[in-house]
Amino acid sequence: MGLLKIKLYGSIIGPQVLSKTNHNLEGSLLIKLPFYFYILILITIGTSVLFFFYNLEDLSVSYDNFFKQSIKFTFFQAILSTSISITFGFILSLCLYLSNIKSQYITTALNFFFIAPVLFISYGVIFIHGSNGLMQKIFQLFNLDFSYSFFGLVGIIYVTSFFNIALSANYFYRKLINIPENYLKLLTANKINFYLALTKYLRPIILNNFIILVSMILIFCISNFTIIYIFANSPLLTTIELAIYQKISFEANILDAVVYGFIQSGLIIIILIPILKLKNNFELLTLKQSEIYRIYKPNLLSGIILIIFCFYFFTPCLVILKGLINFNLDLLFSLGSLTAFMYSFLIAISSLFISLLIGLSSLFITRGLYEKKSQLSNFIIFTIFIISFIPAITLSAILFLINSNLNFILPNFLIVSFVNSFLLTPLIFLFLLPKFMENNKHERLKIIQFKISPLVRLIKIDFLKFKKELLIICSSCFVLSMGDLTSITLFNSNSFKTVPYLISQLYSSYRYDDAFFLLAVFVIFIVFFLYSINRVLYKNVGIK
Amino acid sequence: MRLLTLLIVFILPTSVMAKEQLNILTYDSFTSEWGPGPSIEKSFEEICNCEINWSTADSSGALLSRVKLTNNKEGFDILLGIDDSLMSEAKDTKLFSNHSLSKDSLNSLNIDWSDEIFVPFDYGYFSFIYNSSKLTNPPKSFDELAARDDIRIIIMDPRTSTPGLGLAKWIYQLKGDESKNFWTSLQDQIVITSKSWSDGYGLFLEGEGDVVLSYSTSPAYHAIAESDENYKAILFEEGHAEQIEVLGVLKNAPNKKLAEQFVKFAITKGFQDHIPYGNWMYPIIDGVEGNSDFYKYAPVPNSLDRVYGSAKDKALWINYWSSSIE
Repeated sequence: MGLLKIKLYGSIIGPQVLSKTNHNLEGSLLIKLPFYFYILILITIGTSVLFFFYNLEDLSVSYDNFFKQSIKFTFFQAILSTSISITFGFILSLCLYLSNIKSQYITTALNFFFIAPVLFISYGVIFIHGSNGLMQKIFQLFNLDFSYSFFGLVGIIYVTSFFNIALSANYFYRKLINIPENYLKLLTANKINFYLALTKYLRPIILNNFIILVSMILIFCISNFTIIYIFANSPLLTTIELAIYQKISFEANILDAVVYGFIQSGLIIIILIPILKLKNNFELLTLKQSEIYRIYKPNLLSGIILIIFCFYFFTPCLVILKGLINFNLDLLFSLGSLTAFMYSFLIAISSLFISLLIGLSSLFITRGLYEKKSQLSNFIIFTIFIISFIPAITLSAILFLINSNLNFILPNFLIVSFVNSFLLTPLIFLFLLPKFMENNKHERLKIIQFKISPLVRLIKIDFLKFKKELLIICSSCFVLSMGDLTSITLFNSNSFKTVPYLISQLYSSYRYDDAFFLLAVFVIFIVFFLYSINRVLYKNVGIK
Repeated sequence: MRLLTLLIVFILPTSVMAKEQLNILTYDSFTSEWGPGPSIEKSFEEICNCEINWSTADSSGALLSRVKLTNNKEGFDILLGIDDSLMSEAKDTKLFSNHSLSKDSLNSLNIDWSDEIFVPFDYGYFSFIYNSSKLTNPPKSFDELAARDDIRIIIMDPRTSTPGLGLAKWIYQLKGDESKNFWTSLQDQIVITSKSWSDGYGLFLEGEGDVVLSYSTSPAYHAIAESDENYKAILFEEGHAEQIEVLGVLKNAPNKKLAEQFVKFAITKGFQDHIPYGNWMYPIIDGVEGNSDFYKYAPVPNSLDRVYGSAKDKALWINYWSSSIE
């Protein structure tokens, strides 16, 4: 009876009174600490930059024609690649939707192609389409006098679009398979064919939050570094990020590099504003349905298009075969290779750990502010994304300078890990946000009612909610960090190299067989790793 | 107490036995397995009772920037691999100290040298390399090369690569104020402007171009190391620009004495023996062993006057190039 009275009393008074008196904050500070540390680093970076500018005698920045050209080219290739990626990604998603392939395989393949190491795809494309590539050998076999060069704008767009077509296809495909079953039944009951349904009825669903996809792809293209480095055949084909690298590496001009970095950041902020609306609609890439309700059948055209895309995506993978043919055990167990693998793992694990801590911490704070209807939640989102606006090369240079002023107390691998983690944190944040915010209103009432501490909520409620998503994003970020080639180009030394950097060095030294072999081993490891994660994820059947 | 004793017994001998370290910053290919670095390291370590610790930058163009960025806080003793075009800029940084080689030592070199800060360790001549099995009628002059629309040329970016800068200097030496027009006439044939020599040369070997900017000594590598005599250097009637690679001791080098010892070593046979068949450039002393084959495949071309460009000269050469592509 007494217990019933307390429950009734609580329900009449309402949760507001309860929140003032009974909210358990145990563990709250511990969870928020990584985010505060992140803010401290941002402040340190900002202060160091101001201090650097203050101490400079000459504050003149060169805006030569090459830099102006790099701004034009950055946006030109970004817009071109984004348009191509979204168009072809959409077409591919339709073909995949109509096909009989299981959705689990489709999403896995598209995920893999999005996060595949840039070096793997770049060298794979050169292996197929280079002047000495497989295609030329086939033409020679059939006495066809048809030669083309893949270096230049064609190669840049071809390879850049590879990753972004996978991303946009994944996005549209998930939108398609999330269409409710009864909606599709209604369409077929009214004898509406697929294309009419698509253009007239399904368009609002598919294009919902479309601008966020456009923004994301534009930002990926603007930040293009490795692909431009490999395929640019002229100084006019330079992005701002590559121009920054040249300023640092060849002119030791940090001032120009930092200013260029801020110019790029400013341009990216403008593009990113639509993503700030994301907090009102958290369902960007979530999958709801466990299996597609198949009502539309594939046709000849969709089949042909699918084959062409398979050729596009799978032919670069032939470089793995080339690599395996040149098996070299001595190279694999050489000190250089083992050190490179060790550093790659170390950087991937540390950057994932750092980004996970900061990501979860900021998600926790964002949710807390959102639940209190505070506008500060926008500020948290902004601080998470702001670091990804700054080009990785500029960020690396700033951290390098800070470390230099501290007489290099921080090891290089830690700096590279920090740079990678700052770029991974927004991905983790964005990917986990929907699940993190799921059901939060109902949860908040229960948490206050049962006096559940934030730490317990995070471990026993939140982790259970998003453990699948967490596994997916952690494995993706691990692979992205392992395959990264950006900041390591500034920090490498004889004793500090990662696997991608070692592969690029071997390739630049005409040791193509060794480079492809190491690349094959690296990619096989990544595939095996992702396959293992996939097995764990789909063990109990169902995408949810 | 016992633990302390044990620690002293084990740590002290290792610290006493630890050899002095000489930190050298150079470009990638110098220290690679097929470069001269490992052999030079072995030869020097036999006489110095020390260890060489190599650090590398992507290209020779990036070497100077690396020490400029931090005022050599990374603690390099020697910078090895910039060339005569960058010497003036390097001196302006005031990061380098005078070497201790005597005038007599410098007079014994097979090239004229009197600089007080930098010491040469090899030299070469810029040239365009082609595959004689694919290009059967190579041009005989620079003007003919510019007029041949059928030849695809690979060069390096003068801003990021010393060979690229060398080409800009070479064209300026031949054409003077007409350099921009000459560059413009070449542009249609330039299919790739790579960031570094190794990137550009690799693309040439992959068939992306018909000729590549390199050194007159490059054919020697293919002939001797790969038994492939198809690669040849185009020898221009007008003459070829020279490149001298140098090394210098950094002012705040942690191991100045060892660095000076290495500089002296660089002009002896112990170092120079590894240059022709390691770095594939001409040695700076006579009497280097087994050179006959090397000179057979890498004959010395007609040389233009040596030019030590200042930072202003460098900017001018680059400007002629850049104005032709904008």
